[in-house]
Amino acid sequence: MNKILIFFILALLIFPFVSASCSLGANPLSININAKPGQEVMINWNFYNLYGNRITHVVVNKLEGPDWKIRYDPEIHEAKYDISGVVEKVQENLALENNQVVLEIPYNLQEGINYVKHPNQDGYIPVKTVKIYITIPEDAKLWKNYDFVFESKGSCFSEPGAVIPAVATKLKLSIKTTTTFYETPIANETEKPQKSTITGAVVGTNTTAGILLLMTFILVTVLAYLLIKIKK
Amino acid sequence: MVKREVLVLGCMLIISALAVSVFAASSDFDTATASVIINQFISVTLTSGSPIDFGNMDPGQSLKNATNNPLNITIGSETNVDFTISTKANSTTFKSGSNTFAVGNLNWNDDSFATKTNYTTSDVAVYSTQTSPREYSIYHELAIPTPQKAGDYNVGVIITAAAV
Repeated sequence: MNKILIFFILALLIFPFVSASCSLGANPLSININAKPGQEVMINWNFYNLYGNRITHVVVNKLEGPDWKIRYDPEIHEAKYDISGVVEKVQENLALENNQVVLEIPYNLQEGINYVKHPNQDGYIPVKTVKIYITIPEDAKLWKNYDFVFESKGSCFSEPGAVIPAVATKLKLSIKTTTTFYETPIANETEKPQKSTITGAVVGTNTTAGILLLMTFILVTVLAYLLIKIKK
Repeated sequence: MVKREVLVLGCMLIISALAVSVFAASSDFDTATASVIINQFISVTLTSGSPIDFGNMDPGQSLKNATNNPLNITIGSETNVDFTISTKANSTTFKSGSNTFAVGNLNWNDDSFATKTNYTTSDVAVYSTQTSPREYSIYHELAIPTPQKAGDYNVGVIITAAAV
């Protein structure tokens, strides 16, 4: 009986020429915002590739959250790459080349690249940004938190047709629906008018200041009378 | 003399009235809240053992280790959040054309080898609530059901590092 040989290779790879490392970094990782029903909010989600030796192809999608209108910029699109002489296609929102931390933000900024302060060393991390636009429905309930989870997945080629297992991270977003603040007192019919009391000398109210001025005037008048009497 | 005393008394009364009016009977304190958001960063890099390779296997073969175990993952030093590393498959089946078999035949172990877990399409934590970035390892094993048609089978694996 012929032995049936079965080839199982995970992630379409056969033999890489060079050890491939696929890397994806992200910032921020959670956001809380307030928004009014009917408003469109925009979230900046930054990505970077400090450690990989391959271009990381990034795809962003919603994992959890209400079915509100969401769009991404850049939109997901098909991009073509020359992989060692073979043209390959991949779906992506953006692509991350390997970039290193810089000590100063360059004067001439490269298109599509922004810089964020490194969290625990001197310098700045070059990042690319996916903007997430979310439209809050007009009939969304007020003063309620709506929670989303977005996933960013990064994949890399190692040789034509072969893809390394993907790396991913998440963004937690909470949108609290609000409206214009106002405060209106509601009259209580059973409430009795409060007596105004003065304890000690509390400067700052018109009534208190007026009483003090009156007292001072009276005392000055008494003193003037006494002076006049003395002169006589 | 009496008139002078009356004059002094009157001055003292006026000065006292003015002095009392300067000092408030009570002090008011108000509170305000200061808040700041510290920017969060995380990165995940597959450094070795990728892609996960099992070479040649036979139908009905029991669990075999990947030839290039382990899959090594590095969390970048700029990471400043507590995080969890999880893994999942991007499909419920290995595929070779129209032929398939369940992704649950693929298992993973962390570096303690304490638990062997079948793959699913849902994120399962391999390393939970980690506080310091370092290198991590995931070991893979695969079994082949029987019967199973010959072919080149594959499935995607997604390694996720997310803030807790």
